[in-house]
Amino acid sequence: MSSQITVRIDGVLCTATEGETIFEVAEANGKHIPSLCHMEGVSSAGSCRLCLVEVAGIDRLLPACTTPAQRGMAVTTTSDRLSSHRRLALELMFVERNHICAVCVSNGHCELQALAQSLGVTHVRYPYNSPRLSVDVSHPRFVLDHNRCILCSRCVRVCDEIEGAHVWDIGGRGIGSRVVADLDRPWGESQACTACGKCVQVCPTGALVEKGYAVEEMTRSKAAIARLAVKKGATP
Amino acid sequence: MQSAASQRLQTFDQAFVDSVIAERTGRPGALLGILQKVQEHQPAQYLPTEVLEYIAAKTATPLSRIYGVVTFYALFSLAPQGKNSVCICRGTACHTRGSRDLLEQAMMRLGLQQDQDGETESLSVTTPDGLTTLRTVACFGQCALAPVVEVNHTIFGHMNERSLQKALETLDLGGPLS
Amino acid sequence: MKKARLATAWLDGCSGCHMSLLDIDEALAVVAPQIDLLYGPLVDAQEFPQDIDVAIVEGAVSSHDDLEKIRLIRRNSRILVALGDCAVTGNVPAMRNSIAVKTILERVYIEGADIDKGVPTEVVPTLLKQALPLHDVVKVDLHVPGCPPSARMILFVLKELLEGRIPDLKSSARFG
Repeated sequence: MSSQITVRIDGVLCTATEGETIFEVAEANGKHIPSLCHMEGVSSAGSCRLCLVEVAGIDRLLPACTTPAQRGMAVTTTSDRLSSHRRLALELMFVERNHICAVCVSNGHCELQALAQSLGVTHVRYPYNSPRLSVDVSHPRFVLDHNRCILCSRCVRVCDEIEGAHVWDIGGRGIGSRVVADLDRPWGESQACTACGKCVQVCPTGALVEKGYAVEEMTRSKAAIARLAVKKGATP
Repeated sequence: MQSAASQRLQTFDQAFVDSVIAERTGRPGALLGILQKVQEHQPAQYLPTEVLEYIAAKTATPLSRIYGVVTFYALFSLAPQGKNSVCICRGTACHTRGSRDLLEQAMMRLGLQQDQDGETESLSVTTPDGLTTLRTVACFGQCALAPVVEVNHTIFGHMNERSLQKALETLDLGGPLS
Repeated sequence: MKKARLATAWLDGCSGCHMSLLDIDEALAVVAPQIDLLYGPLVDAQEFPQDIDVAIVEGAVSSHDDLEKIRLIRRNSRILVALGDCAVTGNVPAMRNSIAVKTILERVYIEGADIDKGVPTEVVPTLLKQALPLHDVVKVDLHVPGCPPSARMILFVLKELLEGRIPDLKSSARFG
């Protein structure tokens, strides 16, 4: 039986179950920590670096979604230092690929865009990378636009852990990394894909979208996938 | 009935792949070892699609996961490798000591085309005759010897135009260099 | 009260930001007495004037012509406002940035042309390698993202600037 512990989050004493992450404890106590890769119902990846928090006694910042809460921990979720790191991480996501919000079906319903707004990003201080990237329209119902992908890997995890198909993974390395279906096949030719659309529902940007939507029209239901995960008992 | 799938299996040594898988199944990190052994055994030192599909089915590993592993590690190749290998270090030390020029020289010497953009971060190209593969690496860790070039698994330091030419002349290209 | 010397400019963009500026409707009448609009697509002036208080620039820097213009605007203006996503991020004009200029020109003027095939060498300004946000080439004092920024936001920005303040748009402005 796992034991109860107490931790301090932004000065408030919170009760937690041993093994819970800082992110989970914070959410359970009404503290929202920004994140793009974390998703309720699937395992954590710790890849977006937006949920970085300060822990008293530790110099470096820790990702809340993969750091277990420990007895007596004192966590700070908002500070100037954290905001500046989070802005930096966001701006680097914007420069890495071609995020043209004005022509995106997810404009207005995009987690990347919304976070940039809430963190006060009015412009990006770094030069844009402007890579040449493809758009995969081979699937009859869905589109994968690499220009808008931030490699959060939600699609990879939801497809593996909830649907059980594991169509997606990350191919390549570093700046050359790409979401790939099977052996880097066109999505429409994937033998593993069940066309369930879960990956589309959890994508935080306009990288995975349903066909037939115009600019600003694409909305999603991440929460539905999280509920499904709980029903399946897949919550790690 | 002979299916198309089993005919495709003729392109690799199925018995060998089976034995490698049997040897490693259940061990943590088995996939990496399996892929490495199988690639070494392949005539042109690469992992054709059919092998990857076979390994995926046999080890119940998702195809995309295998692809992820193969493309993450520089040691794996998805295209046939030449029997000669030339590897030019493009690390910072080698770059400042002129490794870009050496790369251009090697490409010209081997009759390879520069990428359209001219900016090739990491490169692996094989000559059309399939004899020689030219690659770049991010760093050999031999910066004191910069610029460093590896030719058929021998590392040469302090390379210049003349010494590179000499080293390239040792390659077996099945005929005289043009 | 001394009127503010205002200029607007339209680089590589669709003019939608200027449209949004006009969309402040009746507020134009409130703003008008406080400004002298000395340059821009809305007035007939050939040369960018000296001693501008506020220059509001729409569009990305895409050609050598744009580059010269924005440098002149910067030199002659106290406050430079990047208005809209093209000026702030490059936006739609920057969608060409991963394609070589030569390829684009050939596609448009040779493959895409029915008559007079050939890339023009006169009149049409030569393109830069990439379409750039203003702050890549000059110092920008205020970024107003949006495609276009809403009339309400533009009015707020104008009012603040006329009061001598640089408005804080953090958390109210959004790309796209």
